[in-house]
Amino acid sequence: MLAEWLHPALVLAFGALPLAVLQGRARQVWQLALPLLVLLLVAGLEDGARVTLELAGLELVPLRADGLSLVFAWIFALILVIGNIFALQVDDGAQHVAATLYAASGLGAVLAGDLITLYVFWEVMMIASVWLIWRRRRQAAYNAGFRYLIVHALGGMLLLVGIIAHWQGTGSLAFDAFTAGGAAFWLILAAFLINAAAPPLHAWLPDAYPEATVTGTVFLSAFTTKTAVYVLARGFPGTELLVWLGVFMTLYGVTYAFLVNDIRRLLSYHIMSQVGYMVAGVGLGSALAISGTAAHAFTHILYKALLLMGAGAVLQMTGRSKLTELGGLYRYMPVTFLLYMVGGLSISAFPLFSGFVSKTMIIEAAAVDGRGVVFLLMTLAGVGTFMSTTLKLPWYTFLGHDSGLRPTEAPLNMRLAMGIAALLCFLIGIMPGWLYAILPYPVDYNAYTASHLLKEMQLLLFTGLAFFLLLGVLGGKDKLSLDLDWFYRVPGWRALAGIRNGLAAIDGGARAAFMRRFHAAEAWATHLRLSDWPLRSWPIGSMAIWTAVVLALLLLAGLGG
Amino acid sequence: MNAVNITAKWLEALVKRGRLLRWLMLGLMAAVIVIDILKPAKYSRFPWDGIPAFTALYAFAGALVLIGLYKAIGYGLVYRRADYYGAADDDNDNASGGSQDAG
Repeated sequence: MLAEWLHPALVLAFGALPLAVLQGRARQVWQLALPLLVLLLVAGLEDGARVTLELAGLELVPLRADGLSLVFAWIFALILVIGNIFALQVDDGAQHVAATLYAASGLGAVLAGDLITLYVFWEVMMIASVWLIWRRRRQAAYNAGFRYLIVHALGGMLLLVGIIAHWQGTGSLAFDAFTAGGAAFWLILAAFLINAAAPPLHAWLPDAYPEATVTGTVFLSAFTTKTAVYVLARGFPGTELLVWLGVFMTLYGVTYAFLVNDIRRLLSYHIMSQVGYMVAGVGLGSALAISGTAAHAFTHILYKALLLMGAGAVLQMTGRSKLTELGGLYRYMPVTFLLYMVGGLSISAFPLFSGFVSKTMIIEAAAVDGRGVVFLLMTLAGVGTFMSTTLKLPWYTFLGHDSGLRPTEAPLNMRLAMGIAALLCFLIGIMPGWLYAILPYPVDYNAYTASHLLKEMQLLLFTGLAFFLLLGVLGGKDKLSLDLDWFYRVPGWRALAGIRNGLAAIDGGARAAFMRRFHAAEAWATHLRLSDWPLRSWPIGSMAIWTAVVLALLLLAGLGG
Repeated sequence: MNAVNITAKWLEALVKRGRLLRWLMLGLMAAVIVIDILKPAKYSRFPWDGIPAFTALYAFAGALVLIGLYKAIGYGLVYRRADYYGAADDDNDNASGGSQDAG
């Protein structure tokens, strides 16, 4: 009841302000107290809670709590606590304010019951999150942040136009499932898919996330894409296009994850891949698939944060993030390594870890639906996930050859945050019942059947066999892998520069032509003045004579007077 | 001795027993295959549900396909030098802890 009047997103947004001025211990205390307060407020939200208000003749629903929105609200509040523990040592008020406002807008978006409220939080999310990239304070981050901003601004614009079209078409601003067809449907779907990092406008994610600050990437991995999954599940369940787009994302992400050298970029491609499972789940649209999507979003936020915290700890302690420059760190960062592996086993759906109880729900939903190709392709993506996230990255970072790096272990608060995330991954894995209890639809699914266990173990063990047989050719390459952002970073940029240069040339040419004509006119006037030519013409010459005559007469008359 | 050192020693002990772990893994692989052959299939939703060890074969072949695919895409299409977009995109950060061996 209290949370209905104290909207968790607004409490968080206003609570972010003191973080700009608080210093030292006071800032750290507030950094922990605020997310805990918000977690309590979310815990106080009851299924069915709803707040409405009228503004300028529009009926807005700034808060709507139901089965679907509450799953996301829970995990957003939870990851904010963990992320803030991880970021306790960061002495940068701007980052803390940005992270908190970003979380507030994510929370506001998943609790929004109308499209205007959703749009406002959607845009705040973009503006707040870009600061987590820019605060890395290096040129590459600044450039990536601008590209991120431009792509998301395009998404925001599509969303606004779509909302206006939807309002004009239906007279309603309620945020519920959209009716298929029409401009509004496609515009809003496109806007949501941009935030979900669906191809072809997905490259903002692996471009920007690895450039963000060590702690910023953890927050970034949690909110934008998962808010997109939520709005897709709310607005577009059962849309066939999403099944295939999601499957494509799972495979695109794992393939590119193999190609990149930067460990945080590798994990970023796996965000895209894992979100692909969720997008496909939304497309399948059955109760099992939607619940599986919500469950997978919940577990994914935890294990992905854990993986990025591990990679971030490596970056912070060594200053390196390339596979080709890392290796042998398990002796110096053993706790980080072990906790990272919990995240790796979770994302790979290893039995006893969280991904096993959520990802298999979506794959099972495809099987129940009789979609053999979807089932096989999702399983194949699981093979790729295990190879690159759980085998390749840790092998070439923590094991493998000795890179000569001698870092110290990550600070206590970072280990604590990773430890909490790892513990939750394990607890969800062994006791999925409490996760299943908060899903949007009742779940009649048991991940721990002998058949599931046997198939999953075959999948993981034989993927591992292939990996170790080909270990010699799987190391990172000190190369850059072009993605579709190349189109706007190279030819797009050249086209813009060409247009700019063309306009500058037209402008310069027009100015030069004007000046040439001006100088010619000036020279002509000078020439006329010097050549006495005017006196050669009869009208002007006679006028001059008569003027001289009149003046002479006036002079004579004057003298006579 | 703190938790970090204990964990490091424990990991070191595991790494030293790499050969044993490898045999354990191979044994486990054999076990799951044998069980899958002996155990009647629970599902018959797809044609492959009744094929013993299908998932193992699919995973192994799938891993090889994915590796071949990424190599082909990498060398055939998308790999460029690390500073392709400019040197600023290829810098390292400063480390906050530890050092690097000169050798």
